[in-house]
Amino acid sequence: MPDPSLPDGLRGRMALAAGLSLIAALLALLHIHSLLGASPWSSLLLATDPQDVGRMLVQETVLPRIAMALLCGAALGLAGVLVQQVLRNPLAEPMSLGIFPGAYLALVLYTLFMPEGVDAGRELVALLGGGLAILLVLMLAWPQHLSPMAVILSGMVVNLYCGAISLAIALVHFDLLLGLQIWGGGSLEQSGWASSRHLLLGLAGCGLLVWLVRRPLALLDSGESTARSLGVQVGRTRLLALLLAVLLTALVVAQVGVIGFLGLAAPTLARLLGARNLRQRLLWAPLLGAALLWTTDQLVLLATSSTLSPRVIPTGTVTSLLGVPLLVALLPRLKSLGASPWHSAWPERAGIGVPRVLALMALLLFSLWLSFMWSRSLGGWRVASLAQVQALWFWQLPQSVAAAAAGGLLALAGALLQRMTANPMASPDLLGVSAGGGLGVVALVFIAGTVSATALFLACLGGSLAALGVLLWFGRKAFTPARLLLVGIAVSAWFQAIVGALLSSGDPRAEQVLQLLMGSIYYIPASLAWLSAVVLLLALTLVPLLVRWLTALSLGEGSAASIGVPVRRARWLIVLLAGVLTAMATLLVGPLSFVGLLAPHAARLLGARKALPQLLVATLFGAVLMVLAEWLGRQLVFPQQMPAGLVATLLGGPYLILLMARQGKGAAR
Amino acid sequence: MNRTFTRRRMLQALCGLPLAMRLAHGRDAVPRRIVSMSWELTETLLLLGHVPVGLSLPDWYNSTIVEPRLPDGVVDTGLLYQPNFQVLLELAPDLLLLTPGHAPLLPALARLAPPLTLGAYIGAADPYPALLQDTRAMAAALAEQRRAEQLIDDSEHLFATTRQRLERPRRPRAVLVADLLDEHHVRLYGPGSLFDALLGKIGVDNAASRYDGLTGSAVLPLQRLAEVDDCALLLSPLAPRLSAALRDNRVWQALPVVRQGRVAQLPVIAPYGGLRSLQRFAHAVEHALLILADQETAGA
Repeated sequence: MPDPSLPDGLRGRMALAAGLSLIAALLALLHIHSLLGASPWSSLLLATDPQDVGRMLVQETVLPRIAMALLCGAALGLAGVLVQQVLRNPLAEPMSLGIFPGAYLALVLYTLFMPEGVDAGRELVALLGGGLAILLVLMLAWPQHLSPMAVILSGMVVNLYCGAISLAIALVHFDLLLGLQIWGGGSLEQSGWASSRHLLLGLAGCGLLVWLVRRPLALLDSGESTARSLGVQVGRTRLLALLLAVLLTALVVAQVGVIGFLGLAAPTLARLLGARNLRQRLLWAPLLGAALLWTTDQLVLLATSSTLSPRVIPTGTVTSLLGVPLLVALLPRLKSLGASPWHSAWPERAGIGVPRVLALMALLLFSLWLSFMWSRSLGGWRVASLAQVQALWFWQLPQSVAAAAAGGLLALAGALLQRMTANPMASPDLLGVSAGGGLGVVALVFIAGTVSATALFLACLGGSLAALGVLLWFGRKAFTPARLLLVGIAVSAWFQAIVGALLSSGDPRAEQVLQLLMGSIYYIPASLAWLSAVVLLLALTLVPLLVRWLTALSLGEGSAASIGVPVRRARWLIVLLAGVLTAMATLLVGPLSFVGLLAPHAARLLGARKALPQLLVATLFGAVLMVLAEWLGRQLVFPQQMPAGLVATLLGGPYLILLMARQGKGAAR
Repeated sequence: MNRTFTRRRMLQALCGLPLAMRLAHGRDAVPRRIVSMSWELTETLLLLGHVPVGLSLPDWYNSTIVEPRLPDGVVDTGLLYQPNFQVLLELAPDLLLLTPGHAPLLPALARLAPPLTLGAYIGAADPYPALLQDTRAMAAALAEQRRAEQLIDDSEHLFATTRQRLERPRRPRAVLVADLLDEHHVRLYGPGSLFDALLGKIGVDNAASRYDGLTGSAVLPLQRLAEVDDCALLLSPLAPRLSAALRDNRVWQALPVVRQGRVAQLPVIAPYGGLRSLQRFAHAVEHALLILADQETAGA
């Protein structure tokens, strides 16, 4: 019988929290019962008895684990509410803002370089990493005035790149990989109460601080100027709230690793169930978060403790896998998505002159010369003799052709997308097409066992096309470029979660998958290299036909339609072309690289501001960058080698940040 | 000995074909400059009396396989699955030892030197006979058949005598072989692993077979070790930080094997190494069980 004195929303929230907790409690009781065996339940109140293993397990692993799940859920729910309130963005949360991946990466580095480092330092390191990551995200989104879409886009970009760097580290340090992956996947496994007691203290402290600033925080709802006129220190309140969110995330990540997207789910559920004002959300999001994580964890426990699967599944991986579709489902809630046309702060130039293009071409030739002739060898640096070049020609030629083609393809796809969406953060690897290709490779290795080059190619192509199909299907009705990009990013994030789950499963095939994903340019057969070159040339001949549309679209949808551009059809064709180019490039350099993001910017910087020159110069620049990256990858850690795509990422990252920072300065002017 | 034509045998024969053709030509009858792309296969190679000229990350061989020791001066050829072609070309090998994981590279590598793909025993359902088969196949390629048979006979003899010595009544009769990954997770070697096969040969029960569905190796939460009783826990070497963490870990302290003092450390032994690793494993298990038995009699 519903209690009429309760408002509707409250009843829903209580019902959900109670229902979830009930399921979790039942599962937990069953689990405890099976462990206790003959001992009475009342014995749980006594001190642990080393003779009674079942009781000890309940007291030292099962109960602390439940406490940990509840505390982590509450902490992440609270963090989610805080960042959503500050950024006025319903999709913000520790994972989508890059805080989690940043903190995780910082901790991985800490563990690798200071293996005997003090445990107490871990939280500080996580705090630093998470703080840096969110700072970077805000900086990247600043020129777009921190619009919700720009923040999430930048956050997910940071998320993906942190993940790529973590994977690259795993490539070299596979001895340390497994333990780190299990922890990074968010395993709630506990032994003893120390961790949960620690987290409880941290959560209580943060909760107290949040309680102190609840009024100014709530006033942010009424708009910045109103809040200011009511005497709220807007800047300071926001900073404190963000800091608290990062702190909460750091506490969680230091204890149990990454638990993705829970901070999104809990506040969203609270909101859907009618928690309209901040006070309600501050109360209910942590409660729902705790209930959600507890239930998830009990289900994971049920799945893994059954005799069917003697494998570890980290709970955090499961929340990530469930959370990404939630993110996509919530996309329609983001209003004000219209990305404003992008104005670069770089000084205007008359246009790109012939000398610059020639210089770029000379650079391409020079880097090709480097690839073939100048390299480290067993006896140190040397210029290859003709015989040596001939002997390796069969191997080096496809590698260089593939590198140049991959760079060109990615750059062209990136330039097309950036022009079309008028969004400087658009990039082909963010379309999710590359991730689809990667999934194809993963599936092949795990289903077929051993792999041949042709099978790899087909699997990757199939995966890429499937991802492209999903993307097109998603965008068939409400098609806005920014939304499509977010769907693509979500697919990529989902892919990373799957790869993470594989790596933490301890399966011996995981290492091989990792090698294939990261070093794919290394494995391509010569025929594929030539095919990609042909595709690139074909695309370059097609592109001039699209120039009128691209020029019009970069002025905005309205202006484009008013001069007679069929906006919908134009966008479709451009996305399709970019998708095919990306699928081709993924086969060559693997799922992630900065080239598609970077090359169009570089082309503008060189003065190619009109559509066609920008496309062509970007392609040339992408080719140069990738050929250089391929060569550097072979020399940097000789005789080991780094994947070309990764070298390009490491080269391009700092440049991109610099570019965005300068752009931010320009926008503030 | 199984002499039928299985698919694996066919594949092995096919993989050895280029080499066989070269041998048939009579040129370079026995390969002298061998590059190995697997630490496990390198062990067998050294046992057959050949030192490779190149190997991926030689330091790793010495820290993970340990014996027989790899002499200094073996050239590093880069990552395991991405060998550096520049280095390979300079080394000018006349035989490449590959694993099934190198299949995507096979066409390119075959242009530098004749390849020989072995090591499928690492993923095989019944790895011990597969290991013997691979050992013989490598010996055939190196014309070291007699040495291989000697090695196999010696190993079998060692396993048999170990079994005899272990037959006298003792407790515990079963062991768990495990790696501690971190303070919450452990990897167990169950049926289908080479360790399990060896335990069977020296007459020691593998307690990992009491976990349903555990084949090969699997990662489990630490507390699941509480499910087995009356066995010894044999651990691979622990990181110093980990052994400190275990002292404070109440779950660890309460595990039946720990309370009964039936925990012993093994030296570094590659779980999928060659016959030398298996000999060392047999030795280490016997040694650990004898020490544990002595402790128990002393305690009683």
